[in-house]
Amino acid sequence: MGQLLAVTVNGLAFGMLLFILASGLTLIFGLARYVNLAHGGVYLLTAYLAIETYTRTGSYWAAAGMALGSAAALGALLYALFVRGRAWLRANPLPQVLLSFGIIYVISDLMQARYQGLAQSLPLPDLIAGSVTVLGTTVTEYRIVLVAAGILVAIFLWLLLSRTSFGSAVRAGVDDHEMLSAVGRNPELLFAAVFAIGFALIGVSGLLGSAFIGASPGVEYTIILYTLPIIVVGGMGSLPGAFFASILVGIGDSIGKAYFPEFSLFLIFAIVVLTLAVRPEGLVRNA
Amino acid sequence: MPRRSLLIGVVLAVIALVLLRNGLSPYSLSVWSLALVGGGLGMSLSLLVTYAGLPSLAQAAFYGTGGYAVGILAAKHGQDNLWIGLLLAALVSGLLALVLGLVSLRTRGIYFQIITLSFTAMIWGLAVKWRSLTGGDDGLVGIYPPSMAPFNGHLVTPQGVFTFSAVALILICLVVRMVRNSAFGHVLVGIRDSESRMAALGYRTTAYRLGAFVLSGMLAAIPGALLTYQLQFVSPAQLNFVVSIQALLMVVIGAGTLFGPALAGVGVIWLQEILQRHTDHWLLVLGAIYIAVAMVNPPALVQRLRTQWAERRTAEPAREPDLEVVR
Repeated sequence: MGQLLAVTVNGLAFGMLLFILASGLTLIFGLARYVNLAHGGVYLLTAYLAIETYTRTGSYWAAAGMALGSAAALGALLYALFVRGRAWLRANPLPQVLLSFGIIYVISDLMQARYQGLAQSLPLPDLIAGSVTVLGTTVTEYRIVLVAAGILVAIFLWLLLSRTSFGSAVRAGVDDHEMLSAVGRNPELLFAAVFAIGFALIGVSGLLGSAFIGASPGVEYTIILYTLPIIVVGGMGSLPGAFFASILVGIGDSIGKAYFPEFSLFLIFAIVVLTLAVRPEGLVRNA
Repeated sequence: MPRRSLLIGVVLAVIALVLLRNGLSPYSLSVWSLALVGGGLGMSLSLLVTYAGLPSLAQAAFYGTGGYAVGILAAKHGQDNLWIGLLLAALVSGLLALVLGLVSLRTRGIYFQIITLSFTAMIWGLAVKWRSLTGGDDGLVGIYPPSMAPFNGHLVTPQGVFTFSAVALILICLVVRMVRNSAFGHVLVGIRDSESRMAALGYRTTAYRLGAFVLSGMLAAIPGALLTYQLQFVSPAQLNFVVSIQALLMVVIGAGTLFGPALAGVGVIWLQEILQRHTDHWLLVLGAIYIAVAMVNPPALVQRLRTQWAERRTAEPAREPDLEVVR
């Protein structure tokens, strides 16, 4: 019982980290209809940058600013330079996938050159480095922080989309680009903001993840591997879907690794196949 | 492509290959052999993307399964006949394609891409974890050059490997052309352009799409098996999902032309091999190519050029675009 609880909390923490990653993807797809699979690369970039900033300055705030700021800038830049005004890229997932992997390769190459392929991780602040005992099970505090962060991100996004004029303007822009500009909103600016926010969320995961799974060569593909089933199960563009799918995948992976280590990866993809066999568009429909 | 220019093309290709075969060093020949295998990978996927409108990302799974099929047969069962190896590779990959196709063809658009990519990841995971069969991360060693029986000798000299890879690529190209021009191919193009219309005409569209998926998977197994024979080694890297993305890149650079994906495949792999040997920043260059291709839209570019040529030559209207990604 104790072990099962520990495994579940581990899975929940990992699932929340995945949710923050997937939420960046989901936001951009749901609002701008753009498939961003470069998130693995952006995770790697922001995790390394957060660690280096902390090592140089000793400040967690500077590390956080670096991770979020660089990711947001990259997202806005990506939209302005590569996506805006390109009909083919805007309308087809195929070139979007190619562009995403191009970005991943460029980032991997640069990170390899700068950090010589060393695995690094962010040391935890003393405040949350300990562990607590719940129901006879020891749980590290940082896992609880991750779960809280995931829930906070979910609340933030829900508020942003349903309770602000920014959210309603962007949702309107998805349906009718021209009408949005007719009522005096600049759709290009809104979409650039969506890219910036979506990437900043990946930056959040880079920051939080750098103290959990760390930064190392190859992690960019591991990240993609774990977010694929979330997209399939949760349905593209659905935040509630991504939330529940992340929990499912996180806990499924944790249980799989603890009890059937040979088949853990297989177990996750078995969830995918079962989902698709029943509902080809994911568990939660519409964006 | 009319019959006459096809003949000229094949003759020119053969002349070029003979010149390369006799002029290059054994080392360069081995690089070119890898490139020719890459051409086969691109060509096998183009059947699916260009004519059936299915931008699958599962191609690496079939390519790698072909490689593992001959690898396991050779290393664990001492089966060393090339022809039996290729046949079994195609059968195993075809069977896998049948199963994966049944599930993934239920989805459309971006979901199809994500699910096929997930399947590739799943097969990769299987190859990494099933150590007793696949050797896990370390890969399979002990794969010796196959015998060409009933013909003489083994597929072992650089010249021999190069020639065989070239012939295989040309044959794959001709098979794709044959399929494209067959009744089956015309139905596929019809389904690509309007599935509902073809369904209304009484075609069982899912069966046709599944047929294309299986055929393309079987074709991918041939270059996959040849790669394993060339390297005398097979590892999960051969069915990593980045290989699927690479195959897609080849097809897009091929720009909707019939044999373009083969040339693009040869070019991409050749460039990658050369870059890997001369610079640490090969991945950076490769990334830049992916980004550039996504910016440029090669199929539309070729289409524009064709229209211009057609206008200059005659008043004939230009051909219809062949690739669904044009638009």
